[in-house]
Amino acid sequence: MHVILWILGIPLCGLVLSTALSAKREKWRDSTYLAELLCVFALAVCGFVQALQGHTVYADIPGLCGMGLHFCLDGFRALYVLIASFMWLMTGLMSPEYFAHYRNRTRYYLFNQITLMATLGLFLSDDLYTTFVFFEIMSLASYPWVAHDETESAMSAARTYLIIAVFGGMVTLMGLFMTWNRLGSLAFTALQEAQGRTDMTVPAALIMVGFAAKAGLFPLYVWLPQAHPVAPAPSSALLSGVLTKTGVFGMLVISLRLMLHVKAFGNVLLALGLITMLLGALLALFSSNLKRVLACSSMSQIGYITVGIAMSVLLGHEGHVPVSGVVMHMVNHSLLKLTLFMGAGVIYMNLHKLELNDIRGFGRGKPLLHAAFLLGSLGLAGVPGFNGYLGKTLIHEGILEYAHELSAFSIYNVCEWIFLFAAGITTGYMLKIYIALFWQTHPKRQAEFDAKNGKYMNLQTSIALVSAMAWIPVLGLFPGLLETCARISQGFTGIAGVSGIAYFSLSNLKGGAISLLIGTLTYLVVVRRYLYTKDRGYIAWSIAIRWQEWAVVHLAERVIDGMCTVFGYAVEHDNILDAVPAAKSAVRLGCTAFDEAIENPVLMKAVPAAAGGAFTSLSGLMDGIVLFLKRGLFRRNSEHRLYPKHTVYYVFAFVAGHIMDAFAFLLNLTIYRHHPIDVDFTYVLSARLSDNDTELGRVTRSVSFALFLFALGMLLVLLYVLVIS
Amino acid sequence: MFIVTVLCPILGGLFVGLCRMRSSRMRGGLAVALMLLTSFLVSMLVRRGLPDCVVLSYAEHFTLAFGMDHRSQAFLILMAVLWPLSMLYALEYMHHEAREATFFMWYLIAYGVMILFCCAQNLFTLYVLYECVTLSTLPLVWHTKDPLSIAAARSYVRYSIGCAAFGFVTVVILGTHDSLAFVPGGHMYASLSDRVLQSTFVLAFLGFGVKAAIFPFSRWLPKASAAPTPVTALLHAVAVVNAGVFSVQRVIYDVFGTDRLRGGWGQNIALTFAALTIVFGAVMAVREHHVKRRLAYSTVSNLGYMLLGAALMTVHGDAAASLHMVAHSLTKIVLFFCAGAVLVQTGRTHVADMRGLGRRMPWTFVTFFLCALSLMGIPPLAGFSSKYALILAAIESGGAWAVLGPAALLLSAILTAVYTMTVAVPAWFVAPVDPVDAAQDPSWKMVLPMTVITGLMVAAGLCPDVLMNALIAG
Repeated sequence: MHVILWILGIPLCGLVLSTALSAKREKWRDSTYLAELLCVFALAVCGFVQALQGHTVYADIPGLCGMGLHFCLDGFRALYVLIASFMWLMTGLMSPEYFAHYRNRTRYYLFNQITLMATLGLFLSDDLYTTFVFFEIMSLASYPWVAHDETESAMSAARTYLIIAVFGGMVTLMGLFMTWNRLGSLAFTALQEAQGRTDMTVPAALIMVGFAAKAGLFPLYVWLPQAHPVAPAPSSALLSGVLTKTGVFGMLVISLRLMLHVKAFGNVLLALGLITMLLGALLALFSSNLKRVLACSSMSQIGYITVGIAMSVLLGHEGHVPVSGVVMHMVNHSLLKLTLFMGAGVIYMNLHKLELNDIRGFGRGKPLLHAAFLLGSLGLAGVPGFNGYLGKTLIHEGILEYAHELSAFSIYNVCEWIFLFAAGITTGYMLKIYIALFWQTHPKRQAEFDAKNGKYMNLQTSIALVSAMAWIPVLGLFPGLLETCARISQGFTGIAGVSGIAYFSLSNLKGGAISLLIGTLTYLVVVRRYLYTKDRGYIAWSIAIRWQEWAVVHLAERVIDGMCTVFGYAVEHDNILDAVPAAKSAVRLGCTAFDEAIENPVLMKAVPAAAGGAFTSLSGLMDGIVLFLKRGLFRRNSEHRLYPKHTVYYVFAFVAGHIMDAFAFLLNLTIYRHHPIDVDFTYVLSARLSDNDTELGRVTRSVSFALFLFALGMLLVLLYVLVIS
Repeated sequence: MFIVTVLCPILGGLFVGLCRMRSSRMRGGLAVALMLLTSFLVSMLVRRGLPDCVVLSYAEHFTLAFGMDHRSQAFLILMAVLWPLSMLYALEYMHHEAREATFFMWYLIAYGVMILFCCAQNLFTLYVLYECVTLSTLPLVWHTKDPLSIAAARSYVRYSIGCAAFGFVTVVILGTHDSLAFVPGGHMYASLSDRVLQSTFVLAFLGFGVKAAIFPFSRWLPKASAAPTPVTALLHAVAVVNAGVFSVQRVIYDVFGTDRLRGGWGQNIALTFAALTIVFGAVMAVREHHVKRRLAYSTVSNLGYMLLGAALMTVHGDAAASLHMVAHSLTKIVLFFCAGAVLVQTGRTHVADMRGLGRRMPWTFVTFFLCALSLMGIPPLAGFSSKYALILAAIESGGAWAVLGPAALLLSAILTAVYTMTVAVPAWFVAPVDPVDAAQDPSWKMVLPMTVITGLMVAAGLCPDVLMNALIAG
């Protein structure tokens, strides 16, 4: 109970304190921030140790936000609180150096802390209501991360992020209402009890939308490749490592508690997962911006995790192998992306560039950065001995298990191949980054890059980077650690079992080897042949070709190119592209249609225009009646004045004014002898009446319209009295 | 006690407005003091209660009678809190406008009339005071006397008297059959045939809904935003428009009673109009680029929420409508205050001109941002709790409206996100339009009301149950 409240309370106090201190001195703010992160991390470690011993802690805050907030700290939640606080601490260590030349730092820290609090609250939540409350806070509080640079691309990415977040939130909320209506509760235990109810599919699917959008699942991933590259590196690391996992958290709850065994649900999830996995990998392969490659890779890895969840749904209570894989891969991916994005951040804070063309060769002679990227690449590619391998193996094993269950050759065997293929592409794009950064040289600035060797980051950043990357081989070489994580998570996922997988057996190593082979081939064939050109004798990355937003477009173009080459049309690359403009534009049009629908929602333009027109005319009905009367019944004769001068009003003004004058005269003689009133009331009253004449006239005429309508009402009464009674 | 409470602002207002003062500071101070005194008296009145009393009797059921129940208490407290704070705001704001004295006079008088309105004990009294509210707030609407505000005032009168005549029709029809007094559960009017009852109800709903800017009768509200900001903020986001919702709640729950109406075609028509109001307001707000008018359209939409809740004719619908009334009042008044602060400090009125002002006017835009989030319905804030309660009530009521109601609400929530965030986000994240412009936060007189009310809004969001119980039980 106390642990949970402290974990949530410290960021809350910290954000108030550090924001208040920032006005005094920025250093104090940074120290408060770090101290706060340390405290949270220490508490998270305590919580994790408790969870390891099998203790579960609950906390309720009844009545807060209407339905009360419910928290729980058990294995999985303790694990993710630990990971989140660890990542926040590491990025926090890096922040002072990274943000040294940034504007709006206080704003960044403020929203960073709000997001921290919301994320921790979300991972601790024990009912969907609490999850949703913190989910929404987190979604909005992370907006300033994306918009931080305030450049045009940042604002556009942030807008997409906000639209998707708000849309997803609304759909999820609708699902929550339906769930509440059907179950009368949103507690996780109640969801478990409702397992197998057929009327819960629609609410479950609706709830999934918001979480899937946050996780970056196809087709709601649009925000992800845009947002990560523009956000500051510490934020990108957190966006990719933690915020996407909040979406996975929600997906886990819905899939494993409510939808376990529902075949249709599992299959749809599997299809979406496979598409995301493959699309992300392809997008990453064709991207040339370092952080964009990493962002698309996140998307691809979320695809793996989703496939794992889908396999557990399909396998049901026997699904402990893929579930363990999911938990392991979540942990691995968080740590890998932390390392890689911090590495990207180090490069960015030195060069302020992220395009591979501009930064290639930067890593030469920088062993620490080299180690970070090498370990990150090896982990992500799933090389045996590094952490990424374990999770991927288990998920792969899950697919095989289900395929075996069906015995005959089925679609799931195809899924397995897609899985291996995507893993191969992962190797390909990581190789591309790695070789570009550490083995190639920059044609012009290489000397400048080499001059920075040894002084490209400060001690604090190095500590953060080392502590992040150390986990990659440690977890990979001692599978027991991750297995413990998976074991303590079984209380949360509700699927128990002992996997007993021999990770380094021949059959499992074979899967890894196939992927690595495909990866190497991808690198040599695709990257070297198409994404990398020799231009006028210089070795240049193919950034000269302006890649469109969509990898699918490139793929289609490549296919068209290939066909043209086969038919021997042309030799020069650009000529081929020009030869088939019609096909090219058709593909591009189709593929960007969805993107544009998100970017320029019909909702914001066409619907308001149409609806607004209709509504305006309808609501103008009353004004229309008035206008009609004005032109007809109440038409003014040009000679006619409603209030001619010298009428009874002016007589009144004259009389009243004289009376008041007399009164003032009396007062002047008696009370106000020293400060006599010297106002001619007759004059004042008539002047004011004259001023108000026109306006009064207008209002009176309006009242007359009103009274006319009133009379209509009276007519209704009369009719009623005469006819009905 | 009651008489003193009512006369205090009315006579005080006349005094402030008509007597000569040595300085405008003194006049302002006096006006604020009178407001505080009135609010104190109101709180005393709420604590002590008010036994039913008949002041005048025209015919058997047509009497001017006053009394107090939980509905009037809730509304009175809301006004007692917000009116003095708005007065403080107006003190600073009206420095920039002409004829302060007249303004303060009518501002105080309107308070007195609203207190009377809240304490009406039967439908006839309610109707009479409904029109008194119209007349007493009219001078405030056309205060600046420019063509826009004159047009606004004319429109206001036309709708409030002309269209509200439907309400009078109901009063007459019902009064000839049975009592008009407010009793929990209503009168049922057994002697009326079902057809007459339903049509009378629809007339009453539309007639009394005029002040709540129900759909075809909503044009006056955006026009009225031409009035000075303290008027738009307090009267056209809180007092007057809530009076409309209050009357509709009275009509449904305390006069007709829900038992005969529920499930009838009258209810369907009422719900349809409410849902149309919601969507209409939100759509028009997205299209509008003048900040105050945009906020006014948003008020139309939110009044639709309350009408929807009220027209659900369930206990929860009623409570949710009241909750949203409170939540929306606290939210919208701050939004208007902020728009007014920007108007006073920089003279900017349109959405595009708000870009980059956040850094210059931090207090104004922090409160604006929080309230914009609340209006969108983001969790820990007041707007979320009330919308949540509304949707739950709609779903609980069953039938087609269990789908249509939430659908309308969610659609408008997305539109709300569009029309609030397009103001709030560029204020913080985009470079200012005019870089040399040296705008800054207004003085404490304007900042204090905004901050205090935002605080109340956050508190209402964190503990809506306390509020909800107070609204249900009284």
